[in-house]
Amino acid sequence: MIRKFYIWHYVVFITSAIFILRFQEVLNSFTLLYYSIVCFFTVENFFINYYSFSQLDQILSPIILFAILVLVILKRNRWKFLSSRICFSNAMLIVLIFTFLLTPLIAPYNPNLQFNLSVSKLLSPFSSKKIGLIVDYSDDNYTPTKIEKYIHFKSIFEREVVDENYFLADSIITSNDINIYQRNTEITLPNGSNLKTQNALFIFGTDEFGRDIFSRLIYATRLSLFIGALAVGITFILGLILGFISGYFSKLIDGVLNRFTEMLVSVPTIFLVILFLAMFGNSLMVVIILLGSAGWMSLFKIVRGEVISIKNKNFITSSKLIGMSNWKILINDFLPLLLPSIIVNLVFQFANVIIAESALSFLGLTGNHLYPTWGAMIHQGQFYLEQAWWIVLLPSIFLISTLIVIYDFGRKFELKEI
Amino acid sequence: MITRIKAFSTLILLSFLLLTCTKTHQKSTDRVVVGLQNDLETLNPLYSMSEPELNISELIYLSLAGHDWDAELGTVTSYPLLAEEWKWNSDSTSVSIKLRDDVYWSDGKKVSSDDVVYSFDLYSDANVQSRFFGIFSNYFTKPDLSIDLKKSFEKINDLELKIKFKPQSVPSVFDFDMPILPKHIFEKNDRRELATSEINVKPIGCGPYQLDNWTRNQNIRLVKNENSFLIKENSVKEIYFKIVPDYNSLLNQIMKGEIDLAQNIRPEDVASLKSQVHLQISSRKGRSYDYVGLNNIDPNEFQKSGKLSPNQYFGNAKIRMAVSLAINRKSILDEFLLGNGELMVTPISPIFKSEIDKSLNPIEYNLTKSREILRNEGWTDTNGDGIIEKNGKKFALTLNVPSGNPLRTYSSTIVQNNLKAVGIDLQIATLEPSIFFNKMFKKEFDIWIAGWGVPIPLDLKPYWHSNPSIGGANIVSYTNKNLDKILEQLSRKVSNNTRTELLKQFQKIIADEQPVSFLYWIDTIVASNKKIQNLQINPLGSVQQCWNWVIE
Amino acid sequence: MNNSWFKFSKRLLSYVVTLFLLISIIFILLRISPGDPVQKFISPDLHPSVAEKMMHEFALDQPLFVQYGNFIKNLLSGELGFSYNFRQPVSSVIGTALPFTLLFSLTSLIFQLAISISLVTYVSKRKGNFLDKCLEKLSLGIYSVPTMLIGLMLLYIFSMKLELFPSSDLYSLDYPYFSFFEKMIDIIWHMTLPLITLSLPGTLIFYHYLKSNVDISYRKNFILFLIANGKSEKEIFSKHVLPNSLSTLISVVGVELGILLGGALITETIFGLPGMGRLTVNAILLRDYPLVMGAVLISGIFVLLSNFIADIIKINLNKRLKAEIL
Repeated sequence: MIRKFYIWHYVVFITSAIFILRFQEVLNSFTLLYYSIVCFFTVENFFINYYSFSQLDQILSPIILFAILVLVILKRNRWKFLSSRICFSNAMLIVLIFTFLLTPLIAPYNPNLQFNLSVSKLLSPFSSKKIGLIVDYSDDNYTPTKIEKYIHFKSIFEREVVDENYFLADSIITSNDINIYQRNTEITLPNGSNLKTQNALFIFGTDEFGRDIFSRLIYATRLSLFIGALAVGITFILGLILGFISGYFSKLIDGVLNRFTEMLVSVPTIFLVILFLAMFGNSLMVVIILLGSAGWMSLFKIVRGEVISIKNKNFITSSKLIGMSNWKILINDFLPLLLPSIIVNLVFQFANVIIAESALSFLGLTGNHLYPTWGAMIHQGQFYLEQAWWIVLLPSIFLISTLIVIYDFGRKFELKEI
Repeated sequence: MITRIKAFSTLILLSFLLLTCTKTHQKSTDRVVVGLQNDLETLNPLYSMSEPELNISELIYLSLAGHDWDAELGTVTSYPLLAEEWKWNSDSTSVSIKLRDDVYWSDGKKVSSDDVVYSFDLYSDANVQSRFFGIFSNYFTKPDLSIDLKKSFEKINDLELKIKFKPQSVPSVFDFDMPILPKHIFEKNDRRELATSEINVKPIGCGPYQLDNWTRNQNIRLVKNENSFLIKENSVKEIYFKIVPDYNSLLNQIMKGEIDLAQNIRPEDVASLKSQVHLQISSRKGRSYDYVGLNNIDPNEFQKSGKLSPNQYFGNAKIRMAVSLAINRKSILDEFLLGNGELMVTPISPIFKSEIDKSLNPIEYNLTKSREILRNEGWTDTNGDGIIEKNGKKFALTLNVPSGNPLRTYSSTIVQNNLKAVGIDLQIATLEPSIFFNKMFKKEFDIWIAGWGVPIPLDLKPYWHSNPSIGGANIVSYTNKNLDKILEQLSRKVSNNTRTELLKQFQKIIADEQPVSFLYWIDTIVASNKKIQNLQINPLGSVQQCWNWVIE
Repeated sequence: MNNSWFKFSKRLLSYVVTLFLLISIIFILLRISPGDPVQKFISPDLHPSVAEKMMHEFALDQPLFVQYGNFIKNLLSGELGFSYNFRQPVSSVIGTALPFTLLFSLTSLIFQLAISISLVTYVSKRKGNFLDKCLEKLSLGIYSVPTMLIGLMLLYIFSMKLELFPSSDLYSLDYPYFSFFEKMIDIIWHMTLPLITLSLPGTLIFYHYLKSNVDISYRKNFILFLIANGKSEKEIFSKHVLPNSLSTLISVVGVELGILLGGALITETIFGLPGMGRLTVNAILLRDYPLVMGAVLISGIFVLLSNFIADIIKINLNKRLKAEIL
């Protein structure tokens, strides 16, 4: 049975699970898409005034979901990867890709949505509460304009704050009056107010601000992976270019660059990173650039070594004689030969960056970004270790399993199994 | 096989040793262990600034006067310590001080009035740069702010002296309550190099306790000075300051009884500490507060030209009021501080019971009112992005918070979410303290969260006077001429009734105008072992008058 | 011989140049980064001129190149200056943290090496047995756990829940009253969790390296020849396979040691230990310029030194490498 369970089965299973569990949200996304298309044609400067990345993200994610589903079913026999057997690292990789691409769809709440603290602080996993939403139906005859409808649907997704009309309660009883119970206090709503109630399940509990940890975890996964990927990109560019310059050109440049790398290697990188964070502030971009430029030394050595060993080969000399520019020689002649060893290095570098980022966040040295990272969640949770272990546990599990996946793939690349 | 048996037996032996050593705590009975989270820099009273430094240097070096807290009236009372008595003259411009006859420095020399004069000389010397430099405005001073010794001091004999203050000044005990230093020791050093001399780590004092050993970053051990007049037979023999930087392990050690006294317990741990039989939890009522700083002036303009032009967001008192109305301070107090604090009305702490105006109430959390004010001032959300605008300018700012303070980090998130509800968009920037405070004092922020401690006795001038050279701590550049006048009158000699009246006016103005958005007073929670008797925990501190401590 | 001495001194010189570059760059970075070393002297309780005076005292009001010149001059005469925050010479501040770091990292390194070598020895005698498979599967999983999580986990289980080990510090309170033997036990007791935290990932790296090296060595011709000659397996392993595999491990060990000596920041933070890592980071955060310079210099020296020692050991193990390395 398990032997016949291939990766494409798994992907189809996950996509349909998301579709069923988040049906309402998929529907809302499409409505939002509809209204934004309508508004685009009717309202002036719609994109400039009303659009932002998060809406695009929200609208795109169900489309991506369907695209994945169709693509996987069509290509299941073409792409070898899809019809290989499932194992832990494959399964985890797919989960990571899904959380990265479909973040807004998977996360039930906005990660920064803070419910009213009196009910929601440090809820344990699987606690269930009631959400009450007071709807204002004061003018029945009033028909909202398109743009107002758009804003309404947008606000459902973007709900970031709890105000007096949107609250969490331990229980809500609606008989004649509406009675709301919040941690031993009872509130009775005046007659005539319209209350919608929903169930809220916090699968992974809440943190000390009353925010849903599951949603935060999903967004943290995206941000952590994003930081890792961008930083590795920077490492790649720096390592490749500097390594090439060092190996390909004169001895003088080689000597200077070598001395420079030796110097950087001789001081623990974390101190340099902390120093630079102090200098340039700890915004997201700075953290990414720093982590990216902290790890190019090993790639530099690899590239430099290989460039030196092949630069006197015939095909390089002939390219030079044809009059190809240095840049072209690097891209056309060297890169294809270097790629296998670079990829292995970069995969491990990806793991290093993720570890480094979480370590920095753990020490509280990176700033507050819009969304949390795994390390930031662990940092935040360590103060509540005694009362709320779940804040630390879940990001840790994600962090560790991501690293296992990366190392596993790195090893496979190294042994040329892929 | 034999090697295996060997290895096995070593293992058993090791584990046995490990088990036994967990039980070999020979607890010294005559000792109090105080937990600290940071090591001290110096034990030299000239430079000690942090609370533990002051506590310890107070034990090693005695002052002329000590202080007590009168909880009923909310005022400080003084009692003679190194001085046997002091007498003010009729118009209280000079004081005659008689020293005790039985106090000796730990190297055997007797404490004399020369030491007193010398100490004040050092404290006020511009070359020494002590923490008291520049505050001797009630004394006769030279142009470089050092005390004019000839005019100010009159030595009568080795144990008696007279301090003369400037006419028109309002001197009090606080003008001469600094720790007295040994002249014969300090004299040996160049004054300019005192800050780095040996005395900082090897003090010679006249107090009830003397330094026995200081291992950096580990512990400081004080042993009682049997010759001191303050030491009774049953006084605690040893006071041991243990430095535990990690809060969780500090907590653990209090639970296990390894530490007998620790301050700054986090509110969420109070419940578990209370369940321990040997512990007593007490709290020092709020002497420090957090606030949301709302810059009254335009920071960019100020950086460029030093001009004070009103801030486009918070230059208007109504907007500041709207911000205060929108912050749910009670939720921070209830959920983070767990009630260990008090909502703030004005910067006069509730501990000053005779000075606070009880008729003023803290601002209620009221989103409707806040939105209304903002709307009336022209801030409305025109494009539905949830952020209010005025003249095309979005109300979107960066909220700056210093890192490393969990309460402020917590508050910042709450403030961010609260203000979002009225359409003010804040991005939180956590800056490390050395950068944060540098920028804050240079008035570079629009909005930030920080805090102040309140000095005892009450001193409001530096915090709220609009003149930058007087109000150095008025970082929001709040300007109100009436308030300035009130503050100036307060520092003159006034009757008690006028004083109360002036303070009332002050509080009214501050509460109405909200120069900053006040958050809450923070209680310092102290956990102590019940075995320590005569522990005095009040706004003045928890590690004080340790010579009265007795172990049961 | 002369030639190799020449190369030796050339290498030393290049180290000195590297160090010099390093501290120069750190010096400049520190001075141009925002933040104020005299920040704590600015407060409503203190007279404003105190901060200015302190600036002057620390010579921070002088132009950058004058400061730099003074720093280099002091450095050449062996002085690292005064720490702003400890009010002590930098050398004595570092002197409080360095012995611990030396002891801690060297013990950890010895543990890592001893455990990984003995594991490899055990496993390669019994190929394909339970432990071998276990390590094969588990090593990746455990290696993927970042240090901070290992530390937090150990702390939570053994210190908070089981209360077997202390959660922080180097010794107990009564340490000064203990006999020598008790002191030893006390330190071991306190160091157990931090040592495990610090050593676990390294052990696995070393194990991994050694294991693959041993596997490769077994496939080499001369080993096959020896096996064919009927030498005992034990002898082949301990006399030929292991030394052969160790030589490549040594440069890894060198790098690892250098990093350890710079301070194990995360472990020190979690367990509240007084090592170089925390000292350096605190100095950076408080803008204690002289202390940062001192700490960076020391850790730089250690990294280069341990690389150098690793090279020398490698040369002694394998004479052929001499020309290549020097």
